[in-house]
Amino acid sequence: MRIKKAYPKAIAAVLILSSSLMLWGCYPKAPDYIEDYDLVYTQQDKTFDFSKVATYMLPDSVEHIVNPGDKPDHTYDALILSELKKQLDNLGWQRVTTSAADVLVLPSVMASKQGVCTAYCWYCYWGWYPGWGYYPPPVGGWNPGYWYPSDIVCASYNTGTLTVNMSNPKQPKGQQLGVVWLGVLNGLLEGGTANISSRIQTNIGQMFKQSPYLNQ
Amino acid sequence: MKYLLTIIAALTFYTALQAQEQAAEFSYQVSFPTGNFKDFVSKTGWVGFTGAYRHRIGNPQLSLGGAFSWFYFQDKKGYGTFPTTKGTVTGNRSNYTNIYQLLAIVQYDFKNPKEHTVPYVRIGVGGDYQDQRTDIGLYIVQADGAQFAANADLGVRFNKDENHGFFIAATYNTLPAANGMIATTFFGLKLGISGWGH
Repeated sequence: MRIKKAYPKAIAAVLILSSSLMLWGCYPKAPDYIEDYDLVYTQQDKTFDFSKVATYMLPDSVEHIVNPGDKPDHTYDALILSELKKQLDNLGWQRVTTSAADVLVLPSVMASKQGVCTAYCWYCYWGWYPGWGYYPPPVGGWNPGYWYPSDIVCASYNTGTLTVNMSNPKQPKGQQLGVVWLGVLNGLLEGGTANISSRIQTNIGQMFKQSPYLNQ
Repeated sequence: MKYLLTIIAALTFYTALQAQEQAAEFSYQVSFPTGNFKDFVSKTGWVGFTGAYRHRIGNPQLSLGGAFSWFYFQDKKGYGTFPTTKGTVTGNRSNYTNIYQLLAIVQYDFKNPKEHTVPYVRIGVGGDYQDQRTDIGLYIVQADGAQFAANADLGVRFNKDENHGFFIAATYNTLPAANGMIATTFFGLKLGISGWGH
């Protein structure tokens, strides 16, 4: 039987081509909903005994951390304060107005604008794509052999972070108060006011839900 | 690192074309994570491709060569609460990894390789570049780098004629923990085509 060399060559060609394609890698599809980007993180000082906490002090305002020249947005301050009060009251703790409280609860908010640019590629949307045509325009039908132009699409989005510091005023270290519990909510500041308000409420609740040691 | 692996793989296959008594193979693999890797990605990996070259040496049942593979694993864990090193986090989480692997392989055919049905065993050792990532909220937690890699195949090749065939194999890959990445182990079922040139 005559032995052919073409077959291994064909496979080797496929191998080299596929090896190059492999370098693109795969990545999961991005989440569909704004709330899918919400993140709640909590951390505790494990040496602190939360069972001895009976009182807390919560200020009447939320601290805003903004870039010089930017104006803080106080739209959600009242909601944040009321939701924190509700959760702290549910722990059986009593709100007091003096710094003699067992813990100080200090909320702060930071908002920032992010920008991202993406290079669109024709092969990412193979098939009919609205607004796209052949380039240059075909003469008499299919016009193979031309590379489609790529587009750069830029978008910006707002992100927000709510940080809740719970400090122990009775054990200051120099000029600083030791943080005994930290709650962080991070997510997209996008969508309507009702949507953002609902997510703030839900996620402040989640901070306390995932910290059962507070309720002892 | 992955670009270096690709260049080496391409040179290997180019060398294969120049050599005599060589085989080129291409296979698709379905993979099933095991061990600690299963905690990271519990879902079946449906993306797995391997290209290989083997060269027969003195014993016709024995061949040496190289293999380049790409595997992708993805597990959308969804919304949940889980512990971190110092605290607790809640969010929508996806774990995924791309593995680019380059191995030196040795294969032993249990029968004359020109027979119709040829069972074989293959062992490979080498390295890989892996990119283990967790997407949560707006953040990506990433550990990537090079790892040692080893692989074993137990399979059967069905020769259509002296030059053409296809094969099926059960395979196991192990990549020890390195560079912040967890140990990666997975079984697989492989289906491929092969061709010999002389």
